[in-house]
Amino acid sequence: MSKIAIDQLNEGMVVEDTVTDLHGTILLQKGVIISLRSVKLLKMWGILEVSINDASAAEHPLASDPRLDPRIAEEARIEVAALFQHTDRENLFVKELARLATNRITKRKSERE
Amino acid sequence: MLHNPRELLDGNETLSSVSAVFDRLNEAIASQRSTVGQISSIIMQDPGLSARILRIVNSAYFGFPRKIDTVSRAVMVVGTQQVHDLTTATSVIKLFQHIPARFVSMSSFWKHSVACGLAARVIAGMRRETNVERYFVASILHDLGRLIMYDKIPELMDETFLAVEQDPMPMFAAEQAIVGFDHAAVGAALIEAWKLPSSLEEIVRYHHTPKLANRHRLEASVVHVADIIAHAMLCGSSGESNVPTIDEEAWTLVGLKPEFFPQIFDLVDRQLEGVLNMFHSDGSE
Repeated sequence: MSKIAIDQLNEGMVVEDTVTDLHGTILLQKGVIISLRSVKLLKMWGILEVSINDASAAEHPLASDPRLDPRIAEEARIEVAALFQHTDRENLFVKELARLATNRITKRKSERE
Repeated sequence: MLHNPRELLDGNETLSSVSAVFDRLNEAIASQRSTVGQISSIIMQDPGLSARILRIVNSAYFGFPRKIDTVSRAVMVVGTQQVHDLTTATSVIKLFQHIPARFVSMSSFWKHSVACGLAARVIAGMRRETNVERYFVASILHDLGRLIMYDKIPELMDETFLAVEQDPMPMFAAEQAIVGFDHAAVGAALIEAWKLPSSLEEIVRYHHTPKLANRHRLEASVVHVADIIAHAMLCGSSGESNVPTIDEEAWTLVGLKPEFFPQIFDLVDRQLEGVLNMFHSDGSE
């Protein structure tokens, strides 16, 4: 079982652990196949990651795979390190902001290429 | 070294011209007896302003189901305090629209401020705070002091940029070291000179150090958090190119969970361009 970040989820992946919100309301049952619609819903609910069945994860590439050029990823990492140099990178808020900023920079760079 | 941020405000015609409109509005709103009609008539004295207010209340920013076609109706539906805050925001953006800036482009400056304003408004809304427009206008004003510094003390600001390059530190810290005070203090002095509400003065003064705020610590903390988010979103800049230092107490006070960041990013992304155009335009199609 592997936890996969919401924006890396791809259609066809199978949910390993039932996804619930903070109040325990079930959002996605174990065994459900991920669709574009469920990703959208999970985003709306503010879910950050989902446990995905290993076999299905092996069959379906991460959503960002095609654009994940290692050079771009490295450039993005350096830019984010500079951007957050005045902050404590261990801080929970900073971690999440840095993750989102990395996605943003990677996306911008990939679109430019 | 300068002694006092107020020295930067002396003899600036642009700054005093805005005071006149603010003075009349402040007076009308401060007086408990002022009616919707009185406030509307002050706004209507300025056709450009009236047009902007109508455009704002009819936009997706508010999302009212029916068209609001008169200023008095807008004041009634949106509320006097909110209309006052929006008037302040749109007047300031208009006033500082075409400042030739060698340090930062005005479009980048307003992009940062409006992104911060939208994030602050969303966070205030999530916390179910009343008058979310107060958070928006405070954000519009938060870095304004820097424009005054660029204009009045360009050499010292050159030094500030150089210092940040040579010895990595947040820009407000470099300003304090080189100028003697930072843009937050200049912005606060400006708000005081304009006789805008004291809450705005305190929010702007402490947007980098919200734990020092007394009466409006929560508001200052929300704008502090929104400023950090706008930086992390890479939405424009007022001169600072990195995420400034974070006041952890402020984040605890605001009580925002990291899970909500993607939602906030998304909302700001969706509204930013539209709101920028709306606040910039003078009402003539």
